[in-house]
Amino acid sequence: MRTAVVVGGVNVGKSLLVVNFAAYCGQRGLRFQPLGRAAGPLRPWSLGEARRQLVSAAPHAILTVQGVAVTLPGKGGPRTVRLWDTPGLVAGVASEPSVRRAMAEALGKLAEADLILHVVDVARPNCWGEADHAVAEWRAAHTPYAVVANQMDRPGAREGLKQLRRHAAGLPVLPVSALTQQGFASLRRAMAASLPVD
Amino acid sequence: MGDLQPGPSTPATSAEVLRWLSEGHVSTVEAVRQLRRLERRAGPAGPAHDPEAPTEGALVQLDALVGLRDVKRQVREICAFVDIQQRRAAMQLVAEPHTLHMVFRGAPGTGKTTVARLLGQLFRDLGALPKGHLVEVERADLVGEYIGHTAQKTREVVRRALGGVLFIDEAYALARGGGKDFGKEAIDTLVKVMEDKKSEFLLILAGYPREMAGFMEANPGLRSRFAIHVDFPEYRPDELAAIARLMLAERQYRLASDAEEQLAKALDRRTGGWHENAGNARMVRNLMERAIRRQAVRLVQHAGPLSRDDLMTLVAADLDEVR
Repeated sequence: MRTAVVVGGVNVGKSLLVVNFAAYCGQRGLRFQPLGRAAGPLRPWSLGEARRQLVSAAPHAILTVQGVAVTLPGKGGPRTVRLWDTPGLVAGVASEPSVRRAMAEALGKLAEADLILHVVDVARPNCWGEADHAVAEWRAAHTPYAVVANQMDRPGAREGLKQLRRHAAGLPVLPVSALTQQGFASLRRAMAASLPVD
Repeated sequence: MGDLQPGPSTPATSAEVLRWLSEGHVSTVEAVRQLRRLERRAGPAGPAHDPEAPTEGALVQLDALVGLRDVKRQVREICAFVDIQQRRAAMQLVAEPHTLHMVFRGAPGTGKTTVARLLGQLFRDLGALPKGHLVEVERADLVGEYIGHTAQKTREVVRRALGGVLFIDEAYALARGGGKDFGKEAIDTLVKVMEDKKSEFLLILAGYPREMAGFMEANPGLRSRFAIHVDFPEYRPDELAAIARLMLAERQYRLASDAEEQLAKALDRRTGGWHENAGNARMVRNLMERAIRRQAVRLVQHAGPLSRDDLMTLVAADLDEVR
């Protein structure tokens, strides 16, 4: 199965994007597979349960890299891909050892991705940080890469989107709202276009 | 003994970059830059896809081991030597025969067996040993009960190890019984097969540093045949904590921050050479296994629903027995 990695700063909405996008693709029970493990939990989560478990306003709510399989319809047939949620990247040296290890796991997963979705919160000022720049510079030349401009439902997002397009010049930018699922159709099309048919 | 500080040099593999990142030596941004640098150096294919580097798997595993800085350097040197001797032989140049039998000196639980197993794989990948498997034995597996029995037992063990690594733990115990002991017979048999089957297997004698020094001193026939001595220092408290976390992560557990603190304190108390288990990774494994069982008991008694987090987290109370 192909590997799509969702990466980005702290609290930009990665986990909600993963859960809601999986739901948008018709996934009902979500079975998350933690990194390094063959099997996930014994029973799949309902969407509500997955949101409660994974989505949080607190920074670093999840410190494990974990993936959920989704099937994308597209030209020529479906594509199955595992969508990996990663802990939010902090630019510096994190003081918590568990956060630092989570960073290392996230980067390790990025190195083996077939497709990278780099999530940015455009409702936030200066949304393209140092870590964003470094990661894009490292991976975008090797791997199909899309910058997902999230939180488009929030005020100030249009301004942020303009700024983001300037900073992330040369990379495809997809405006979405993980909350309202706006923009998910183009996201799914873009993903399907860069993945091989099953 | 190894240096306590990570070297000033730059990391050589991506596994090393990630370890530096999780140990807090580099920032996330710096780690990303280093990863990029390594990839550019390796070319577009990347090191993982390089068909010229079949040893990558075992080397990556070696790098991933916590601590053991000098041991890793020595293993790389040995592998480089073996590699070049083989290439010289392939080009019809005079090649040193690789009788690379080794002595591993270190306390129990310092990584000797783990490194021996990886060496077998590395030598297999380099083509220096056909199988590279590990046969781990101790005195009782070699020494027999009547005259002639020992030589037979020892030769049988060597036969099983042919093509791979024969690892004799607590090897000094072979000299324990004095002059009339059958242990002497085992040593003589080993010396003989080392001559007869020169490069067909790798012999590693392991044990406590002081006992091994005395043992080699008393057996000149062995001493002259072991040029390579690898020292396994005791793990530092922070390295033991890293080992504990790795073990837990593999089983999908983690330490709450109070448990993390308590473990650090307990490990600090245990250092200093006077404690028989100082610097011992096996002790840490046992502690974690016990904590996992105690967590289970605590959770079963807990009223109300248990979250995923609850099921994964070990708290200070689970580590209570650590003294």
